[in-house]
Amino acid sequence: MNGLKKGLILATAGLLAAACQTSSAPPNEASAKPSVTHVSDEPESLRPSFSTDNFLKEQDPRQVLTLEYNDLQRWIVDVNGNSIEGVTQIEPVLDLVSGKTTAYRLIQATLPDVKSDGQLRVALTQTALADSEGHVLQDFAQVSYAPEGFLNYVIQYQQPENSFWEVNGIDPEGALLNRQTGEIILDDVVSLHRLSSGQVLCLNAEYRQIGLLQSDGSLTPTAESPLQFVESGEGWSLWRSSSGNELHDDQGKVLWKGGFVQVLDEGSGHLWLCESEYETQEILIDPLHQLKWEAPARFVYADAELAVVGDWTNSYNQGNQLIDLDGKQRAEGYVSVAANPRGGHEAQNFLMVREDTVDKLDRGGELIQSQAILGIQTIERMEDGLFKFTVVDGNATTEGLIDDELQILIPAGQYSTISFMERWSNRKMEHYPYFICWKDVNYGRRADIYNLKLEKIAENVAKIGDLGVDRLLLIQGFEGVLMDQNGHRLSSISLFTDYQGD
Amino acid sequence: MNLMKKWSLTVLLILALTGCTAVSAPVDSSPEPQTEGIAGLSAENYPHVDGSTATLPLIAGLYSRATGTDRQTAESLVSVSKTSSAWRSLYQHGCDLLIVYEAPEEIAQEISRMDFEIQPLGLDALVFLVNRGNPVDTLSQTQLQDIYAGEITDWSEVGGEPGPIQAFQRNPQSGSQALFLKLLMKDRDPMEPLKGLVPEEMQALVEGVAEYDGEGASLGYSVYYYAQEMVNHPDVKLLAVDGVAPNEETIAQKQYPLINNFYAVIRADEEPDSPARILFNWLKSEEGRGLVKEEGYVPAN
Repeated sequence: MNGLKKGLILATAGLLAAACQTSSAPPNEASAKPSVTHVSDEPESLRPSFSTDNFLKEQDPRQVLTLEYNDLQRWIVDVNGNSIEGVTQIEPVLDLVSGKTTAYRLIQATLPDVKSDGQLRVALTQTALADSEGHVLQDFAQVSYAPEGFLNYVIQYQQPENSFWEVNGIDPEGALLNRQTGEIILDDVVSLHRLSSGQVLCLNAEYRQIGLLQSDGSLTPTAESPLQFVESGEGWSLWRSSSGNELHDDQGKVLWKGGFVQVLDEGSGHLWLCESEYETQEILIDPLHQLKWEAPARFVYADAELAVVGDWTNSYNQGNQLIDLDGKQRAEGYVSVAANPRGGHEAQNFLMVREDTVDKLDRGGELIQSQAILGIQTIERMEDGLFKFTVVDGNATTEGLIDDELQILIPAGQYSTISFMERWSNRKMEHYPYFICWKDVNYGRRADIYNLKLEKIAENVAKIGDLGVDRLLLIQGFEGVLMDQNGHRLSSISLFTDYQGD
Repeated sequence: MNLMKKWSLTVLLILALTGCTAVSAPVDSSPEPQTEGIAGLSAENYPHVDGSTATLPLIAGLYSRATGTDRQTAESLVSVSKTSSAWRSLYQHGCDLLIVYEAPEEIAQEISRMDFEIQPLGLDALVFLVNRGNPVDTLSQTQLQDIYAGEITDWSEVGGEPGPIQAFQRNPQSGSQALFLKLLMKDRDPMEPLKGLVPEEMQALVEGVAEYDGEGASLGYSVYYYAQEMVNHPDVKLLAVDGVAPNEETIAQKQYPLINNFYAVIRADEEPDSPARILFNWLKSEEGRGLVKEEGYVPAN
């Protein structure tokens, strides 16, 4: 995983605005203002190279993508650019009037699949084309199935309405099926969640457990759990009720019970929970060791040794400090802080924003490097080694990208927002390997799309439909366009003609 | 043709505009930079132009010409809110210039307190669509009125195969509906459309005519430029009206009976040197008329 490769590389010389300067200042007190000493002038050919470990990859099973190009119609196209016939429909009420049944519908199915590293990932939701009776005409999945018994199960859930544009936003009706026979094994299952023990929780629409798939493939139906499943990590699962939360181990034993909690971080096998008690918080460590934080505080980061803590009442006004868990302050006076890296590791450094400057500090609070960015207000981790920052210039707020070497990858001023395209899968956010950068132009909002090498692969996109690992479906100008992740157009339709009009 | 007229909304109502439709044959995608430009305009000061779906290609061509942006990029940077919303937007200062079809009556009344300057830019026609399998090729205006008044209900009454006529109508806010009421129905009230026969989108109407029952039972309407230039659905044909088939020539010569202008519109209080007025004035020029023709529309006389 782990985001950006070290020594991250530079954006184009053109990307580097005069305000974006790096300094290789010697370690210093965090409060000291560094002098600006260096302006990057790396050649344009050097582009950032990102690890794609955290992104959806070739195992993405969806073979068909859809794009809603007006209020009534979708373009449905397979990844090879072939339009699927018969799916451009007129208003469904017309079918009702005429008595004609809708020829096609989309159903969603949740299927298990396997990551390239052999780890199991279950409950990947995908779409399939079905006839009006719900029979699958084209299974969009092309996944490899692991031999484990529980992977013989499939959750299939169908929308109650026979109308494919109503797929989204309606609670699904699901069931766990035997994949081979199609037999319903357990009703009301809408999602699966794999625990670190290898067992798989069967959850209903309210995220209450109604069954447990053992790692040998056997199914144990259970009474509906009074608690709602929240999330799980290595050896633990978190459950919630209206009155509080419980932390369970893999065997269901209660490790901790308390008020409202949220997971702050789960790096290095540690579990960090913040419990709000009015305006105070507690840190729960590991989770057997508890540390009471006496003053009102807002935790940004914590590990076994230190934390980044914001003043609860002053969080956006230089209230953040880097502090030992024993209370000793290592740095203070920052308006925004991002820890790096996060995933599975203790943070090695922190990117911390103060007036017109982002500082990189080590764990001891020593200043490693500084970068002047006029008007910088916040910094936020996107991936390990990759950060988004916001700049306010008058009434305009724009965003840019910076790496953990404080090299500006995309300067502020161009884009109002920058984000990864994301999707929820099994209650976890997954990133598509694209940056979606929105801008305001000619009284409208358009997006430029970059790949992970920060190569612009699509410009002035008005609307983004489904994305795949190597496919983007979008509206550009008067066309719907299917392209690959290098920006090559594979297929297109005129928005004013039917999909055969290419 | 420098008939620049300052019309109030009252006059507008008399004018009778047209419906909304979209146009555009996918345009030349070669990104050839435009060099001509329009004096006084650039991408930085270009006014906010809105309009009807059917005028979208012209709006893209105009942006390309004025800003020097290649045509393909221009298409990706323009959009319209459609006829009713566009008129309302101009009234509410949400945009600066319209290239638009006739305002539906309800909207026209709503914005009647605002003075606009309105310049006819081009001619378009209300056309009637049937499934290509329908043996009927022509209808008279009276027959069409009778059909939409609910007095003729079977195709056999107008020379077709026996079977009920499924007559689509547009939603009241659409520009096509405004044209339909003004040009065809005039003082006759259309029948209440059957539930489900009022597609919101123009394209849906064309698709609906093509697919409704596959046997030619349906009848719909749109504007010529959209139906012929932008959609050109292989399963749909345009009916002749009073024996005259709609095409560029019969529209330009006003032989086809159901024709109407589309317009450039600005607020009357635009300053003489405002970008909107500069663009408006350019559209009235010979160059502007040339652009209308280049984009495949029939320039107004």
